[in-house]
Amino acid sequence: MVNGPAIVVQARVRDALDRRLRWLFGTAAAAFGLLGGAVGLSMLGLAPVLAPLAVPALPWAPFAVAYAATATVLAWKIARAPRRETFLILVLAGGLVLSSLVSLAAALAATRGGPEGRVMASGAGIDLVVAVAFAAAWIRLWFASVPGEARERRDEHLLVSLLDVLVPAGGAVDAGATEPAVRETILARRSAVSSEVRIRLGLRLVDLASWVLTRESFAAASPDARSELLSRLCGSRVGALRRIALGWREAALAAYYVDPRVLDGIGFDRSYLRRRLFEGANREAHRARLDREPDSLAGDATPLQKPTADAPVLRLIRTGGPTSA
Amino acid sequence: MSGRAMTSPERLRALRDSDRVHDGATVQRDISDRSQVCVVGTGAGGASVAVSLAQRGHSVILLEEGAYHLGGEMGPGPGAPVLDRNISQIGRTSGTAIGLRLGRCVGGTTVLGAGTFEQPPDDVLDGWAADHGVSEIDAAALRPYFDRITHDLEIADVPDTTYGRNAELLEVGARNTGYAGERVRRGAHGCLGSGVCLQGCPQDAKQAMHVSHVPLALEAGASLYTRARATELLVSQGRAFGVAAEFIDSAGRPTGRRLRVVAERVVVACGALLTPHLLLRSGLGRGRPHLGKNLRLHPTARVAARFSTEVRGWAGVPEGFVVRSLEAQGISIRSHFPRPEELAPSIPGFGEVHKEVMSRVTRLGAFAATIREEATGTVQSSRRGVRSVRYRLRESDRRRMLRAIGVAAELAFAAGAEEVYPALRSVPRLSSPDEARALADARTPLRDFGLDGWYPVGTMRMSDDPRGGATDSTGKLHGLRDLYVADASLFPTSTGPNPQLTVMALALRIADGLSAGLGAPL
Repeated sequence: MVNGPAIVVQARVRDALDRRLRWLFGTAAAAFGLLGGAVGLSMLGLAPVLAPLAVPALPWAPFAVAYAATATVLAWKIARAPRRETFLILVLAGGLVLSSLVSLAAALAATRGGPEGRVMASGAGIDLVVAVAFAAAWIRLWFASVPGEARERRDEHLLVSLLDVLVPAGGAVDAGATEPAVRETILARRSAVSSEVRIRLGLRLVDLASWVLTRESFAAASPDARSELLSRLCGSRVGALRRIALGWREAALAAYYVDPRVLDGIGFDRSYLRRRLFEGANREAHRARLDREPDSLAGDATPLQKPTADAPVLRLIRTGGPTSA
Repeated sequence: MSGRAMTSPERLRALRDSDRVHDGATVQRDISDRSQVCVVGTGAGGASVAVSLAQRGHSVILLEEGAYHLGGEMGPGPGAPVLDRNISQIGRTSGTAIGLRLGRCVGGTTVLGAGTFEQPPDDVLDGWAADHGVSEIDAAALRPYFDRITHDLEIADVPDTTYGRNAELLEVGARNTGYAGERVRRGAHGCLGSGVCLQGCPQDAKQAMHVSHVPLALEAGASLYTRARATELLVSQGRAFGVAAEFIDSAGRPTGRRLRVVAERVVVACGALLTPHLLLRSGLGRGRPHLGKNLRLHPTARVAARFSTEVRGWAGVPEGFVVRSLEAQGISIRSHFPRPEELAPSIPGFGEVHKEVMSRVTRLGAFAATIREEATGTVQSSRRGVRSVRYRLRESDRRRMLRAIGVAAELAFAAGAEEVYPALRSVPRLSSPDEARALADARTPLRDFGLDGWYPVGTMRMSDDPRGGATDSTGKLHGLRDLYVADASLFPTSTGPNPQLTVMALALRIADGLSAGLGAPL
């Protein structure tokens, strides 16, 4: 089981993300500022060398300066506090898309094949690339942000519905993979190889696939429909989807069938190993271990619990280990 | 050197806790050290080089990224130490997803193996000399080393007391179908058949390196730094002169303390996936086109089967019998019963049907079908870790894998199986030998296979011609003095069976060469 370190890792990842976002938007602010300054100077006739850059002539130049100034201010505000100004990131990205479209229109209207048209088209391309970068930053921030109650519940329901398909309750062992202790083990396994962002994104992709293929949410679908969808994802030609589905499958099955109570339920003889350990050269060490960890070998394990409908929302993988409760 | 002498738990603990072993998690300051030889990695190759040199009086320092655990701490359970790397520390395979399991502990992947020691066919080793420009390494040249290891580690056939019903079933199936096979040979003095070899032997019986060559090396004067992750090879003016490492804590995070070892010779033995990584990180890839290439994984499918009588596959050693008849065709089938948490994912499907299959675990048997693939892959590296393993099976490998699975299924039916689960998503079960034979012609795509890469080899392959390999026949890296490789990455080709014995033999041979060139001990 993973104890504690996942929290520290998450905090450090957030610091790194913060630094990268500040660098990105700080650089953007500087670039917009320089652009605005250059247009302004050229407009005042103080920088004839910039003329070949197709600086817009009046009456468009003041608009260009205003656009650059606005973008500078927005980017600077975002750079100071990226997590607080996520809405402004969208505004800036939207503005760049608009600017790109305007530049493209101007390029098409310019003398065909002329240098002005090429510069305008390049500018349109640059604006679009930067807009995409900002949109990607917004998406990254959104997934990295502390989820609100609604998002937490949605992800929780997705997870539970997925685990319920992989190892349902009933049969030889009453409880399934949604049993709280088993669920924690599954999450610990997943978070050892995947970040929280990737895990949430993976769940959302499963849900998206459900919407596309069945026109309903994965969590709302019937067990048979979920099973059918998951089977399709496990054999999907799209490698990313296949890996997500198979990764959850592997984690769920491995975590479920390592639980000593499940092993007892399917007839696996745990006492065989215990007898061997107590016969061998390290028997004293193993006896001491059994005293400390009864569930590891053949202790009086508490019965598996069936999850109830009003079970509390589990912090998804924030701790990556046993809950404090 | 005697394997028997090393099975005393008290002696092992005394050596592990002696001042020859430095746990990086507890180091409070940066350390500089020096020796005649610095060996990076304590697996089959690194430990063998170290013990051979230390017993000849040379000063040896061993570096190991993992911790030093002994049998009293091992065995399944929430408090058991983590002995292997997770996939993010290895890299994902592109194309077909293939599970990779590497050790990160003193003893390396030998701690997680089944304790099996197998000699490669003579024609494979002779082929290295004939076809790959490898001199003085053929079956005859390595035989003395095989014999020495076999004697020292008391390698022998699995005895009846730990053979297990799962192995018996494969033997019955082989007899009934006319396939030739034999008992697996293991080095496991004092084995009680606990059945948890793959999680580390709780009896310290399995002769993995942490209970054999590493303590012998320590006894002969070697030093060991654990939780010391090698970050860079120190190179200057055309020669390697040491290793830089960072100490890490129990969670694998750098502690901020560093280690620098200066040595006359450096030996890298981190395995076929991580040895090229270290060299690439150290800027040694330029001008060495073979470095990191020629990767082979020996893809393996676990084929489970349900029998009408109890099997209790956990009662006995995981591997007991191996079918040899098809090795010339690149196929090997062996009995292999893992713990339920590893068995469950290898049975296709999920949900109620899968749960119903697992509910009969007392009557489940399991075999492993391994192929010698034609595909080769490449290890790609970045500064932060092995980021990807480019590896894509070919159509010929797909067909061979299907044939191997089909043969394993046939053997299971011949032993009395009622139903077979062939590790294929689109063919979750087989009900008759005819269906098993028909698998060879199936159009099952590679993405439907559930495979593991059992024996990574080949990424620093030997050839005396620098145009043909990354290292020469002595294990020395081409174009650089005093840097040697001593692990399975040296193999020019796949050997087929478990490569541990071959790695150890090569390592002892490399140590012989090193010793001859070293001066008096420091």
